[in-house]
Amino acid sequence: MKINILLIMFAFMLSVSASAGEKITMILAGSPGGTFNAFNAELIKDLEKAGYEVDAQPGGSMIKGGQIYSGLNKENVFVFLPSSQLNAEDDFVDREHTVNTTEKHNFMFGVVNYKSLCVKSGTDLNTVFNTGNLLKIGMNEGERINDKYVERWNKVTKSKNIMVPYNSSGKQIKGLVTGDIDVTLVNEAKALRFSKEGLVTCNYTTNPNSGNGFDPLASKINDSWFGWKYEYLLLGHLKNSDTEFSKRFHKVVTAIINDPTSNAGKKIAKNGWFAQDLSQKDLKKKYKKVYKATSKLLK
Amino acid sequence: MELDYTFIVIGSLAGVIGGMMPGVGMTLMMISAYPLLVSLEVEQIFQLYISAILVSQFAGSIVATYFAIPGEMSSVPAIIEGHGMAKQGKANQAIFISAFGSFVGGIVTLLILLLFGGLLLKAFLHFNTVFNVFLVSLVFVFLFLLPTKNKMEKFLFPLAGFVLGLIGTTPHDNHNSWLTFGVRDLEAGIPLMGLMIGLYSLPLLTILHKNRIKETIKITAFKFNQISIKLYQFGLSIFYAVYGFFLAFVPGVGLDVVSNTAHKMQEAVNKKFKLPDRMENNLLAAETANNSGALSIMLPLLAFGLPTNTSQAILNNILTDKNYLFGVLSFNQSFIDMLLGIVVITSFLGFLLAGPLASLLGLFFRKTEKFIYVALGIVLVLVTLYTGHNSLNLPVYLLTLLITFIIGMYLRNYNVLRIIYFFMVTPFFVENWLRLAFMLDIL
Repeated sequence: MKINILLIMFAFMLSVSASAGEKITMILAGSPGGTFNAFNAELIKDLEKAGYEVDAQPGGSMIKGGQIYSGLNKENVFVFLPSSQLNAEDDFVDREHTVNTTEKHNFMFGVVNYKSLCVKSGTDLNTVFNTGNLLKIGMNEGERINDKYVERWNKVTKSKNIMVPYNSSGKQIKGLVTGDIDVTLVNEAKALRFSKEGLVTCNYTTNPNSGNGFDPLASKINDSWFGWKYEYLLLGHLKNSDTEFSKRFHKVVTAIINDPTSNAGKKIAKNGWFAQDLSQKDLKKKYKKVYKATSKLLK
Repeated sequence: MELDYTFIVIGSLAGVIGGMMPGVGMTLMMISAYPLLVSLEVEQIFQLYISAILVSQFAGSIVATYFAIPGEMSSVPAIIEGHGMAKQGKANQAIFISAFGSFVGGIVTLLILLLFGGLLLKAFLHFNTVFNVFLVSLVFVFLFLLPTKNKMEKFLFPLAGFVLGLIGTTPHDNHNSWLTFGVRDLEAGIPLMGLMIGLYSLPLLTILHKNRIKETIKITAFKFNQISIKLYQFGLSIFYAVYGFFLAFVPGVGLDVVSNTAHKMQEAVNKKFKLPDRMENNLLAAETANNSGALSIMLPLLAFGLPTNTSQAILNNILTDKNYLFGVLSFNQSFIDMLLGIVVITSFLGFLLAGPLASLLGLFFRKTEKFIYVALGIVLVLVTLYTGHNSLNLPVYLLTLLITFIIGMYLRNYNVLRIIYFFMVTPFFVENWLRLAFMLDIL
């Protein structure tokens, strides 16, 4: 029923905006072959179907793309990236925000993703929660956040586990497979992919409501610390638009991402992400919530 | 991974051109093709690159034999022996011996992969941080011990490469950076392309342009009745193919080392057993080892993400940007099958190009040589700036190119590749050592 309503909504949006023929400049914030740009490419197809004229501009990387977006003075500029996390990190080191448009009318849509706890295939994942462990835990969140997680883990399980840093989720999986580390907290897209390939076992997620076939980590570890439920929020930002355009675009793009048959919707499902069906006001609230959680983790 | 013949053919053509470019070959081909490569799928890039590398080994011996200039650094024995034979009126026999050796090298590589491919896949499961640390430390020691002209090359060049390699995001944790002094444009690090073109390629092209072909021989059409191969030479080529494959697999051992050690070994064997056809045997040994090593030299990159030469470093950059995962997560049976297909096709194609068609390619090179270096220099600068523009880092690319070109011209008589090698290997070295320190709970 919900899907049908969304489909009708989506079709309606297509018909409304197709006549508009409005132009937007999309900054592709991410590496050329990366997950973000693959999603952006699908979103562009949907937006063009919806009648928008999309001028895609390379953004090089997330940070570079965010900076370009913030510095551009054209009309209707759009970017998709984890702005709440990036801006919290910027504040922590006292530099300018990567994304400087965080008013209600700037938020277009949101996608949430989580991390999953994985061990090498053939290993019992439940043993990592035992007390008195001396495990190597692979993390990819930056030194400060990595340490917070492992310290908390050790406190809860009364263990002396060690944190091993990585700079990509692929290397975390490789670390598991080659025996460098015993357990890792890795993004769900990788967890899903390599679970399917039989290389790793992943049963628990930071998603407090379960999802992608994984159980909540917070319940398993039996600890109410916010880090076990931390969300990664990806946001679509729009700037230099009038209020009407912003409202309309928010509706169109939110319908697109929540439509499981759209190109972007399929990509979201494949990545193990969760599309949010939120108003601009609620998106701003969500931005603030994740910003605060990230700041807390960084302190 | 399915074979895409279009990219194998394009790669083979690129390999012919790359192989015939004196001393700079495949690296410059990779840079010139950069805008095309970044737009391709990972499978297509691999097929194009591997075909090019394999065919370039065949083509390198053509310019070495006819004009006494090494297309690739590994073609130096081809100058000594091949050009020596050509001066004695045996150019066709020299060309044939080179092509035959390279062909056997390719076929033996194919057999080794067929026999040991499965074992290699199992071995990849054990290539962990401890192994990486051992391996990269070995590479560092090996690079450091290579003979140098003076103390500047010995100590200062590695240090410069090491420091430059540290600039940017920290190798083990991409939430921090080193030596960027608050400049966010430096977070992506010093661009390898700008550094390599400025420091090494442009100064080398100016030297090559000044010292164009001086010594040459008459190029005659390839005739089958002028060539021959003896049975014991066939046995020799199989031995050197196996030797080349396994020696080149050791990271830090370049094809120049493979080719030159095979050449020296055969020279000693000739003397000890008083073998006839000394020059032919030496040439055969070097060319066979060289071509079988051309594939195995890629294995450290495929297994660990550790580039061991400059063209691999460019490939590594492109694949990393495409989120490619090196090692056990990508190197599987289907990858080996793809390699096998490429080896078969390029071995036959390379034999044809570097054998019967060698005289045509030689004539073409002689006619175009006076333009080639200038044209290449212009293309390289334009591609570098274009890449800088596309990655939104043009000022850093431009500055790197300018500064390193000035330094490169000043140091043009030194082996500046030492700086580049250390620059390339440093992130892998630091990343693995730091990770090991974390694993041992030292940090």
